[in-house]
Amino acid sequence: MIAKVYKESDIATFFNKLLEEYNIIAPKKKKQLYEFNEVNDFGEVALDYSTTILPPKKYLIPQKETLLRFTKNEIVSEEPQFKKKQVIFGIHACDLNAFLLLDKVFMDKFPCPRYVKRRRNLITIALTCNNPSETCFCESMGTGPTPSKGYDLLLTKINEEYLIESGSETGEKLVKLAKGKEASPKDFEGKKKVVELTKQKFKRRIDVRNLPDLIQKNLNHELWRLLGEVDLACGQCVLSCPTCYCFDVRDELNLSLDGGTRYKEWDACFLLEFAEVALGGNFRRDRAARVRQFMGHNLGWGGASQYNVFNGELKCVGCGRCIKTCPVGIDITEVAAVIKGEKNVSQVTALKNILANIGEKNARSI
Amino acid sequence: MTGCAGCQMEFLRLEDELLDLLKNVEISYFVMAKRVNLEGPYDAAFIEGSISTPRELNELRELREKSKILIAFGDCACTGCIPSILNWVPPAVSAKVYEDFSAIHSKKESFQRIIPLKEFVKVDIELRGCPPHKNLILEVVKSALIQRKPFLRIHPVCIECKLKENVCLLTFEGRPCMGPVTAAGCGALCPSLNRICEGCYGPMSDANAKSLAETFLNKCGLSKDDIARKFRKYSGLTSALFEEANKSYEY
Repeated sequence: MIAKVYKESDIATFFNKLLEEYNIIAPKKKKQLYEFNEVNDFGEVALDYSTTILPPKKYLIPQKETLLRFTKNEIVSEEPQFKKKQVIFGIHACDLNAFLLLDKVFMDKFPCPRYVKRRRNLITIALTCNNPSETCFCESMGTGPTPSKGYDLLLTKINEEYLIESGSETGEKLVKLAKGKEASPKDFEGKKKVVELTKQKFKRRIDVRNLPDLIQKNLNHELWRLLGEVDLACGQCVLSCPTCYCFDVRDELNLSLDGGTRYKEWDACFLLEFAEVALGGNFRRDRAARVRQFMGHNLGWGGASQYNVFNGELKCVGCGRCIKTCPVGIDITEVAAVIKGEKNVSQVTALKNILANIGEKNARSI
Repeated sequence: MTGCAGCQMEFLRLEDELLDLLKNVEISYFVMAKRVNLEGPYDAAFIEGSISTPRELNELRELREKSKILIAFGDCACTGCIPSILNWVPPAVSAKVYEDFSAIHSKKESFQRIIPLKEFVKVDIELRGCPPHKNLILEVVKSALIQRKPFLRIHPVCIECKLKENVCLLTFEGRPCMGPVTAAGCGALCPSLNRICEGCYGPMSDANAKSLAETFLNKCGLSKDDIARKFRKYSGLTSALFEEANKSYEY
């Protein structure tokens, strides 16, 4: 491992050197939030960001991609093509850990050639998070605020300087692009302090011990039914989840009807049509069942033994996007707390209104 | 039928695709675009507008007889759309606005209501939107040609909005966006331009109107009247929004 210390101005130099050779993706400001996007100037990069609207999974699993083109006589497969290597700059530990989980889905037992190609083309320059948003809880999931593996380079801002550590051979080569001084034990102490300070900023947490088992045992908990009542099924949580990977495959015909394309696009288990089968049958017709599916997959069966893709790790990485974006304020940490028995249903924020109404009705009927 | 003819315009907006389309399709009857029109029978009929007079109803029944596939074309045909606001306007209001009803057929004749097609005849395909996006029109035409169920996603606008990575206007700005109960198809046109969704594609497949009404009430500070008006603007007649709108507001 090589570790150096860059001044802030060195980071800009480093970034510009990267720009000459690579296609760079970094967090950018968008209204009051942030998004990962292509960047052509260091001035656009918002390294003090908390979290982005959509996770960077969009660069590994595109929202919509063509799989093949067909005519009556011929089928031609489409593969991702790259002119340059892609660098994702400033990715936080939660999203990096999400990449590692997606790798298990798409690279381990049944490798997806498109995913593998994209993943191999991606260089990850991670950033220790020092600005968690109100809804973040990666610390309690063991996935942040700084990554322990999976990066090519890791930046940590310590006062006005950046500690830069390599995590791979690619990283070791990159780190030489700008001049910096050799890191000293004092700098690593500094990093430790930054991480400690960040950890104190977290407002939400999930106690993950036994959680998968408890979810399995509580499939009929009244919490699900009540959440089904407030839930809008808008699907924002699924799309903004860095580890949700469901998709749909469809054929689209040309107008001349002599050929067409087969494409793959993001789908979401929160949508009614997701579990629909022939003749209108549906395995998850109730919203409650769909809420349970999303929460259960993230906190339960993502880590349970019978669905062993994740080797016991939970699918949730604590990025907090699903909580942040939910119009009705459904909070996965509260859901976990209810399942763990740390809270009761009446303490779940999203349910307060409907519980109040039910109370009123009950009172009236008496 | 009763509508603004905007859906027909959308058909003409297929400029780039129209010539290719005509290789496989013959348009028999389209008064807005054709000089010579044929009286049928038809393989597929795109019927735009809702029913507001007995004459329209007779015409609709005739068309049903003559057509193998009947497509309710646009929101007026599917849900009543904006004209359906009439259904909640008390007669006294109309009387104040129009001194003389003689030129208004829907007022003069016995209906006095706006009613979507499926209340009278069997509708094979509902092509939603005010107007439907041209890609949806093409999907329906292509599907009809190969005798397949068209792939019309009626999941919420939020999906298309999120894919464009917009900042959620409801969550982050507390604005009363109809996205969560409205069917997609437009590509989240309005929210992408920083305007809230008005609901012009009708209710999505699993609209939770009750919860959205409560969110409007508590988070956006809307009055119950406002909520009813929002729910009734495009699809107040649909079962998904009807009850909630009525609960919130009664004349």
